Amino acid sequence: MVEDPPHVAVIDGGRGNSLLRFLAQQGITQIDTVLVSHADADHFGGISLLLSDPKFQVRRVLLNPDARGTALWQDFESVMADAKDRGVAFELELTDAKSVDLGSGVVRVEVLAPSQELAMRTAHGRTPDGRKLTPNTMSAVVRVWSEDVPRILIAGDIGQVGLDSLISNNPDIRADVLVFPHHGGRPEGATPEKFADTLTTAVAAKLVVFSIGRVNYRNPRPEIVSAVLNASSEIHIACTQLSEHCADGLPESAKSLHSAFSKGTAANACCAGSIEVHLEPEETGYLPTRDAHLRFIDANAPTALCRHIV
Amino acid sequence: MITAGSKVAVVDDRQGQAETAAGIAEEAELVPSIFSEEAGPFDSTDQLLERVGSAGCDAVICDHRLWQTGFAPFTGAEFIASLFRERIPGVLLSTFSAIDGDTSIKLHRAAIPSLIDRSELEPERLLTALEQCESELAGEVPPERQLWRTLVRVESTSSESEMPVADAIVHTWNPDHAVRFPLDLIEDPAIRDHLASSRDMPTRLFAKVNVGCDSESDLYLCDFEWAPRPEEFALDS
Repeated sequence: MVEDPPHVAVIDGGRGNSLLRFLAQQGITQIDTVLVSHADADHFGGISLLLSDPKFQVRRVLLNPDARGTALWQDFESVMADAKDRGVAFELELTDAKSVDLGSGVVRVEVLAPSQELAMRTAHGRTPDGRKLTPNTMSAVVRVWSEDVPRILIAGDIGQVGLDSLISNNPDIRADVLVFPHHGGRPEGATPEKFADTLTTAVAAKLVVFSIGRVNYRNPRPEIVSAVLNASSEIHIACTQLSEHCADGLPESAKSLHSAFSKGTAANACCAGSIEVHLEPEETGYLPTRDAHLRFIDANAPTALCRHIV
Repeated sequence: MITAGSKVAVVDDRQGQAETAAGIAEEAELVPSIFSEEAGPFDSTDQLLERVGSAGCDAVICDHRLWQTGFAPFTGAEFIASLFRERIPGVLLSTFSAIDGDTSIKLHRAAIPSLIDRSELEPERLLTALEQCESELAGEVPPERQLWRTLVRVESTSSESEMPVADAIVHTWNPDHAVRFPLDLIEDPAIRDHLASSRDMPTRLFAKVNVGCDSESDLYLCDFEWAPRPEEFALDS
């Protein structure tokens, strides 16, 4: 969620009701813009709930069409039809031709990928050099700017083809914070180490976030974390939940490291939990702080990937 | 408020099971009063409620299958739900929650904050369940019980079990796991009849669902309405 009061944008929504609980906690019911990176349920599930519940008013939604015709996407089409009847506007293009100004002129969301050229070929076509395109490849990659500083790069589920296209079309993809693609899982069509090294080096972030569930797919992959750390030893890595790689068990009781709603809190499954990035003019700050997070890791994650693999 | 020394009614058509549950209530420092074979039969939930109330009970622990010995023509779920509407805390116990959970329990799950599988009945669990029920009666609905309007895709219906049921996907809860619920949960007869005829599957509906719960046995649905067909979403531009 990107907030530039009174304007709000939401970029993907995870699964379940976490997004809505977060918004409710923040007292937010009006959302100017929603971006859906691609048609996977772990990215649009929360958006589906957001669009279905009339307690929340959404002004417009940007997304790319999906031709797979899955039952889940058809579910989402029903939801969109219902939302449209309630006045939500839909724009069926989310490519590098779009830029979303939140309203104040201070914060904007730049869409870096997919390129219009790739989007024209759809998620079921091939690149000009014959490489297969997939919905993950065609994930939207967005970068949040404020005060003309590139703050956060959110990379959807892109794999190698998507990364190559991203870098060739955008020579500079630097940002202070990188939300690592595909939850730190195996990137499509890529050698994980090489993929992580290329992306991390290009973004040059000081904070790399892995948005994970503790029990989902054993993410992030150790070789990816290792490659991220090898790209820069100064990088702070923050997983939203405590990966099974890092601790066999969960803390018996763990206070949240800051006040924002985190899905893992109820089960003591948080590592960094939800991450709040402050778009201050001078410097990008964030919560939980690096020190607080590292103290938590040292106390609760005896096999922490981010502390032991370099 | 239920505290040590509070009187709880233990309702079970089988004396032995009732005594076991009463023993656990005693371990939880509650004072159980058993309503079993000798106390029955009861013709209606109102009749049983009156007996429980006249015994001065502050809360109720009730087995689900009350009908097997002719103790009552209604289910424990029906009784606990009626208590909830009367603002009396109650916990439903079931040995058959895996079987009845989709049907006769699901039918009343909206008004049953606390369901305990008998194999998990322990003093601490019982006290937590009673506390949860009291909180909900006080208007503090926990996140896992809060309702959200969401799409429900009904894939099929059948009448093989004790009542007509629908099998559906609630993708905002779990896109990979079908849930079963009784068609009688749907108030609109047109929707119910449409589904019962099994025409035009899948059929998409909106309903209010507590999608924040972890377990299917805790999931409940209400306020069903038609959803637009997917093809009704047409391009804006």
